[in-house]
Amino acid sequence: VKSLLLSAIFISTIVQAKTIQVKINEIQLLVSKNCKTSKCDAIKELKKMDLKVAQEMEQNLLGGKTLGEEICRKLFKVEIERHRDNQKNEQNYCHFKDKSFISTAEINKFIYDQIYPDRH
Amino acid sequence: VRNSLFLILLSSFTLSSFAKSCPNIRLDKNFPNNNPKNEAKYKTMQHAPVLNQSLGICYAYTATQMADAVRRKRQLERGKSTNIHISSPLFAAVNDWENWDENGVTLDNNGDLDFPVEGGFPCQTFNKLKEDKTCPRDKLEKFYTSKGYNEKQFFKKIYEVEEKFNKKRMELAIKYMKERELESIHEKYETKVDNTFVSQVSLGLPYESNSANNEYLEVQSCRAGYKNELYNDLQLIFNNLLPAKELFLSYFSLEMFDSPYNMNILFRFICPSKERIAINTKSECTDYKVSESHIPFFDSLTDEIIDQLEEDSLPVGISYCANVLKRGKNFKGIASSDITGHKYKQKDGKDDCGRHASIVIGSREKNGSCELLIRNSWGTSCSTYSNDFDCEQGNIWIPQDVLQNNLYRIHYL
Repeated sequence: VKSLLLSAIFISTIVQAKTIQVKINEIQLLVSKNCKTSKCDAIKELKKMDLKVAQEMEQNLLGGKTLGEEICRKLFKVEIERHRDNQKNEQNYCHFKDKSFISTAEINKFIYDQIYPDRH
Repeated sequence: VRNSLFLILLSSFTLSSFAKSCPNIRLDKNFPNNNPKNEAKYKTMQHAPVLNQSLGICYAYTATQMADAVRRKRQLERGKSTNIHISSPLFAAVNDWENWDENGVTLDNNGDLDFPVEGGFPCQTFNKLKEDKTCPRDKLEKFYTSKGYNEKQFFKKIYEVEEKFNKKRMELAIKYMKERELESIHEKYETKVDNTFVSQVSLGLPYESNSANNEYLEVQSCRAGYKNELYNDLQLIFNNLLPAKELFLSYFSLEMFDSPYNMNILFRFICPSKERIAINTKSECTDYKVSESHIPFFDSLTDEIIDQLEEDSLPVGISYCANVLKRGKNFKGIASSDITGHKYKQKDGKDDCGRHASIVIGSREKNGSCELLIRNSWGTSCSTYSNDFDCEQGNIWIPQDVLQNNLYRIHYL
């Protein structure tokens, strides 16, 4: 149990070490550390995203594909990388050309918090 | 007064006798500080990682996680320590070729790839894997990562190579027909002798035309087992199309790659039968729909899930409206949608369900209500989910009644 706990802390420390919290459209998001100024590609793309387009894309998702993945691939047109921790647990990240990144789940949060404001 | 009291007593007795218990079960690990005590006979999901699907193949993730849990259960029953074997969902999806979009890998109007394996049925995929065995995930991944691709890039490369291959094959077919003074046939079928025809003939397979057009009749005669001269001649030359095959050799170092289901063949070549692993169960995966009449009275689909967890210690597959996970406990995907076959749509025609498949790996009683633990395949982050639900690294506790409002099928062995 101790080793599991330690590895979990270790991984979260690594992720925390690589990410910072920013506020975009009043929503707290975790993005890569190189987004300290809002000039990184990840933030630029999020800010210019058309939520109506995102909502339409969600209507056509097949087979449990997530909106964050689809946005990353089709709107941002950048690659998705699958990160695995030492327990082989996975999380996908949207990686931009300037080496900034954001998890696909944070992209989901950014969209859903705006289009479903009463989702808690 | 006496009669009403009797009725109240009778109804409360009847309801309580039908009310289902809510055992505290976790197949992945114990509850924190073992409080409450874990009632699972076997922890068949212990050390099974939380996955993050990329393609829309949730059904394959569901099927492979169920298969891996069956294997772990067998090991636990024999008192062995469990190996963490992870089956490839991508192999499972491609292997279930009857589920494929018949057009194969194509481009949509925006030039983006459409993947023929997106959307499917967990039990169908599981039962196909039972016949063909699962492929270790590492095996398939090593193949495409060694060439610098992720799974989507791999599909794209297959598409590009296939396009080049088909183009080359068509050029050669027409050249051959002209050389053999078959111009009249070429002229007649110039627009009809397409890639599908060439591909089918090259394998000696019947030509499957979707058209009822009479002009196809002569070509379709091949279907009835009658192989005409053109068919035989073409087959001969296609079997020796080395220039085209070299295209594949240069990309994949493989020779077998020219059938209508070539991706399936490619995957089987990468992961041959002797390297695949059997799912050692006699049980078939069975679907139960929300409308199924055999479900006993007062026994909901979610009650069935709890029964299965308690009896078998195996994850139960669910097909459900995943929009509930994003939108919160008040979302009712089934109740607010029209049901047409597998499709759940709003009255204005827009899908407001978010059809998805996952596995349920636990249950618990919390504040007097029963909750089920969904192991999703959207990664370890909890950011996607509504704060109405407790989320632990991609596992979501959802009240039984909320899941019931969004559940349309369960899948179990």
